[in-house]
Amino acid sequence: MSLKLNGEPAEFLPGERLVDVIGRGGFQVARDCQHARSEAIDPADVCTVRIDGRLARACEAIAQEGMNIVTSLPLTGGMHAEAFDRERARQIIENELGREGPLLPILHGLQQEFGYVPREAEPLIADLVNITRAEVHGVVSFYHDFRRAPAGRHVLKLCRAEACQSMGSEGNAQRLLKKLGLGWGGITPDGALSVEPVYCLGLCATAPGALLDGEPLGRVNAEQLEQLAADLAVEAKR
Amino acid sequence: MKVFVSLDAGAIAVGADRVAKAIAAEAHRRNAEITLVRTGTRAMFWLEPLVEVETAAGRVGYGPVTPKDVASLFDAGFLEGKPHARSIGLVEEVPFLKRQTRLVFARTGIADPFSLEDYRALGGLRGLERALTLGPDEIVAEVKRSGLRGRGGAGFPTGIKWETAARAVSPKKYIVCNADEGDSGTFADRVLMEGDPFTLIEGMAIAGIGVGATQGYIYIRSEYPYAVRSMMRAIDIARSAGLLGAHVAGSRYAFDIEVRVGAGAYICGEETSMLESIEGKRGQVRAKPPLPVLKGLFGQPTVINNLLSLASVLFILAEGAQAYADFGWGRSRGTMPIQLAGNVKHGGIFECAFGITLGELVNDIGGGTATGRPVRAVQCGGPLGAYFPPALFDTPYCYEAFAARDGLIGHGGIVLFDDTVDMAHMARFAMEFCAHESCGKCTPCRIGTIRGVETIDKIVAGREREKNIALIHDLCEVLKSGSLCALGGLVPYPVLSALKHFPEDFDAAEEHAAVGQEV
Repeated sequence: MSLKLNGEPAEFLPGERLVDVIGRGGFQVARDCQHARSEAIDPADVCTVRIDGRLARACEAIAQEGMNIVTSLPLTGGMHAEAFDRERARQIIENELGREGPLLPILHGLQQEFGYVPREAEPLIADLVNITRAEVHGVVSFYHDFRRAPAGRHVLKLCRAEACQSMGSEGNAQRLLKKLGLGWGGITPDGALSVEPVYCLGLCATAPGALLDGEPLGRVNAEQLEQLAADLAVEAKR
Repeated sequence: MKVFVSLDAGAIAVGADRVAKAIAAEAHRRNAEITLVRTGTRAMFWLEPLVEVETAAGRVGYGPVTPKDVASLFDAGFLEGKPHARSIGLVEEVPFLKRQTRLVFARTGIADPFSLEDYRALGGLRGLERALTLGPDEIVAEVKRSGLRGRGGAGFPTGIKWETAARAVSPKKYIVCNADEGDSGTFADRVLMEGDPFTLIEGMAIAGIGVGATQGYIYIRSEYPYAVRSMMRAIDIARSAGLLGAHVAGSRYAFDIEVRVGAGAYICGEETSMLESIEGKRGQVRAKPPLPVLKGLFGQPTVINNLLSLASVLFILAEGAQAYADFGWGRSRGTMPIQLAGNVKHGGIFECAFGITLGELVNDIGGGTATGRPVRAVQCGGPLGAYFPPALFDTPYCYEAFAARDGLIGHGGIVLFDDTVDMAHMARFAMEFCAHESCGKCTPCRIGTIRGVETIDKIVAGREREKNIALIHDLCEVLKSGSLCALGGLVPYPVLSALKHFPEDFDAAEEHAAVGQEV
C-alpha cells in the first residue's frame, strides 16, 4: 500500500502509524509527546502533519491508501498567526481579570492576538485566573471557535445549516472542497485559505450564507466561491 | 436629500456597502447634495440592497440595487422618487410590510440605529419612562397581565418568571439576555441588534428595575460579529447618555449591561449552558432545580429572557398590558416576529399577531419558493423543530396548535424546502447536528444521536427497515425523556416528523438497490 509523503510515494503496511511511515521516509516529526517540561507544547512543532490538507497528529493517525501527507507546515501560518509572546499573553489575560467569569473573553483575546489559542497560554491562564490547567483545557477544547493551531491567512466559513441547505449550500461546499482538495477545516497548501463549517450565520433569508474573515456573504454560488479561492491563491503568490 | 441604505449584515452580505459607496461617489461626481443614512433593514431581504429616498409622499424604495444600477438611478431622478426599473414605490405600501403589525420591529429599518434622538422620535424610551413612574411591583404586574410568553421557544410566561425573581431576596440579581440565536432560519435577534439596539437596552433596563437586578449580560453568538459590534457601540452611547449606570435615566435605579460573546457552541443557547459559559466554564447544561430564576448566574437569582421577549416589553409598558394582549390568539398573546427563510421567494421578518395560518405565511406572505418549484416541506422552529408538509398548512401559528400537531414554533423561524429535498437526509442531518453540538452530559444525546445517524443510514440502505424504524422510534422516546435539556429532548421532532410525513424518502435507496439487483 502506498501514500504520498511530501510529494513522493511511500510504502506502508496496513495498520501502520503515520509517524512510523514518515520516519522511514527520511522526514522528521518529533515523537516525544511526554514532554518533561511543565509547559504544554505547541502541537504545530510536535507531531502535527497535514493529511489531505487537514491538521492531524502523526502519532495518532493510521496510514491509509492514497493519503497526501505534508510534514513541513507552511511557515506563513495563520491569518494573524504570531509567535507566542508570553508577556503579550499575560497583558491580554490581565486586561480581562476585572470581569466576572473572565475566561471566554481571555480566550477570545488570545485568539485575536495569536490567531489561535497557544498551548503555552493554558498554564499562564490557569495561574492568573486561579483555576486548574485541566479546567482551562476543558474550556478551550469544548468550544468550536478556539483553534489549537493557526488557520490559513483567510478563513472562509460556509454555513451548513438547514436554511442554507435548502438553497444548495452542500453542493457548493462539496464542489469547492473537491476543487481545493480539502476536507472541512482544511488549509490550502499555500496557507492562503481555511475552509470551515459553520451552523447558521443568521443570513437565512439571503441563503446560502458565508463569512470571509468576518465579512458576510449572501446568495453565494459555487462559481463565486471558486473565484474567491482562486483570487486568494493569486494573492498568496505575490 | 436623504438617502437610506441598510447596514444590516444580511444586506451587506448581498452588497449594501458597495451600493452605498457607489451612491456617495456618484452624488459627489454630480454635485448632488445628499445625506446618506445607514439604517437597520426593513427585513424584506429579497429587495436588499434596498435604497430608500425621502419624498413629500413618503419613503420611496428601489431594490434590489447593484452598484451598476446607481448611475441610472440618478439619471432617472431617484432623488425625487421618480420611477426606475428597480422602483418598488412607497416602501410602507409594499404588501409584505403593510400587512404586518410591527410592535417589536416598529423602528427597525427607518433611522440611524445609533442615534438616540431618532430613537426617541420614533417612540423609544416611552416604555422606560412609564416603567419609572410605575415602580418595580407594577412593572412586573403589567408584564404578567400582558400574557407575554418567552419568545425563545419554551413559551413560559415572562411575567411569572419576573415575579419569582423579584420575590427572591439577594444582594445581587442578574438579567441575562439570550441572544445566542443559533436556530437555522432565525435572524430576528440579529436584525434587531444591528438595526435597533436601544430597544434591547431599554427592555433590559425595564427588566432590571422590575426585578431589582443591577447587572445585565447579553450573550451573543460569535457568528454574529456585526451584532456584537452594534450592541457594544449602543451600550457605550446609552451609558454616556445616562440611560445605563448608577442612575438609569436619572432615577434611583442602577443598571448596567455587558456583552458576552459565545464561541461557536449551539448548546449555549440553552439557558443553563449559557450561564456556565458566562461564568467561564464548558457550556454544559445544569440539572434543574434549582431554577436559574432563584439560583442562576454565579448562584444569584437570574432572569434569562430571550431577546424578543425583552424587546416586547417596551410596547407593553408604553401602551399598557391590555393593548398588547388585544393582539393574539388563544393563549398566545401579542405579536411574533416570524422569520421566513431558506428557499423562499419573499424572505424576511413578518411580525404579526398569533393565529395566522402556516399556509398564509408560506404561500401568501412568503410567495412560495425562491426556485419557483412546489413547496414540499417547511421546518418550523429551527433544527429541533418539526417538518410540516403542505397538508398541515391550515395549522394556526401559535404555541398550542403547533404542539397539538407534534411541532413547535420555537424562535419563530420557518424554513422552506422545494420538492428536490431529501427528507431522509434532513432527518439524518438533525441527528448529526445534535451529535456534533451535544454538550456530552446526557448519554442519550451524546451517544444516542450517533446511533441515530447510523440507524437512519441502515433504514435508507434498506437493511432491516421495519426493525430499524421501530428502533428510531424507541431511540427518540429515550432521547425525549432521558435528556436534561431541549437539545436531546427535541431532536425527535425533526426526525419523527420527517419519518411520519415523508416516509417515501426513507425507502428511496431500497428501491434503487432493488433496481440495481435486477440489472
